[in-house]
Amino acid sequence: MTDHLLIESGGPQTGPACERFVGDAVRLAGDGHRVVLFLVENGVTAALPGAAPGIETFLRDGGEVWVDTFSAAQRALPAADLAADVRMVEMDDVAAKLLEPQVRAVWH
Amino acid sequence: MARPIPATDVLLNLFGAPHQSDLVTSALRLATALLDRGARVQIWTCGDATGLTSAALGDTKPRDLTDLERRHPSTALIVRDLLADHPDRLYWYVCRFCADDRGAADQIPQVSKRSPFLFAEHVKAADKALVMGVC
Amino acid sequence: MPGEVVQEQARWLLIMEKAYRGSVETQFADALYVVPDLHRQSGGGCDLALRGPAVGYAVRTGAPQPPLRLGGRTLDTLPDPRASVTKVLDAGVTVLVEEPDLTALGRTAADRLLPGVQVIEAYGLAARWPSYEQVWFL
Repeated sequence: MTDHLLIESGGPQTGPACERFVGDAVRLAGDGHRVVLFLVENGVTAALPGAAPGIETFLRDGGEVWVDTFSAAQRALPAADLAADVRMVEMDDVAAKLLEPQVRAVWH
Repeated sequence: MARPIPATDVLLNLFGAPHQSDLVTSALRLATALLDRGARVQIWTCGDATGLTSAALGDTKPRDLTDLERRHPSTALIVRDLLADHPDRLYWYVCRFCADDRGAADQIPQVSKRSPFLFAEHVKAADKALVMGVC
Repeated sequence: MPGEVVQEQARWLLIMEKAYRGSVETQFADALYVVPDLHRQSGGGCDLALRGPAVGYAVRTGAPQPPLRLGGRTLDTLPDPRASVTKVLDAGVTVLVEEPDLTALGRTAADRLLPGVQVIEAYGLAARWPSYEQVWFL
């Protein structure tokens, strides 16, 4: 099994593109890989409950959803309004994850 | 003869265009976070991102007409200062083809223009490579 | 002069989903243009996946690319994605599309797929990501 950091920057407003990338995360988690889905820029809106249906499946299959604190604050999204199981992170957390030798990262 | 490429932990390939999203901001934030952790970082720009370090930008943005006294740094100055802050751990490369194609051939001297034929060498010199945005 | 090819074969998955990015300003230098050389630079290790609207790049149009008249100029150097994908295939790159994207392009799209393009199941691409060193959205 492998470790993955998937980074979504576009969010649900990009329609199928975001949906497909979240679907990629779901597939990887469903296949048993360890996956962090980091939502940044407009991607943070995917953490609003119901905004990106694949997120719930992803969390259920053992994936982790990280939400960029800076992007959320820019977009007036308080943590309390986001889905319960997401983790608010700083870019330092992402840097630490990216520097883990076994982690493979994909930006979308 | 091509200059040797320093070994780095991460290569951030900044392919997306400025002024369309927060991509440039994210790239610079991530680079800063990596550098703060002691990592060695390359940044390679393609497409309109080559304009970030265009010499034509000078040091400042056009003036804010509602606040004439306040100066706003250009991206060229921001990048130049970031490079000066990390002289041995941050390297900024500009795709020569894209810079020529997008009217940004004249670059600040602190960055290096590279042939796209050498891209794989930069990938090979880094432990990880992200492509951020599309041209 | 081109740079040296890496000694060992890399494994790079290039994914294109944003399509038709500026016919007039791009002309020959579209995203597909770089793929044969990336394949060469990687030692022959690139696979290209066309997703979403970009799947149309691998579907025959049945008509030549029309030129564009702009004032007194006839611009006949617009990108020709099908010719570009053919070049990518000829360079030895494996080109993949996911079945739902073909379906979304209309009832005859699957019949007009360029020879050599491989069709995989929905989200079959992600299942393969762990086998690549690099996965890049280009």
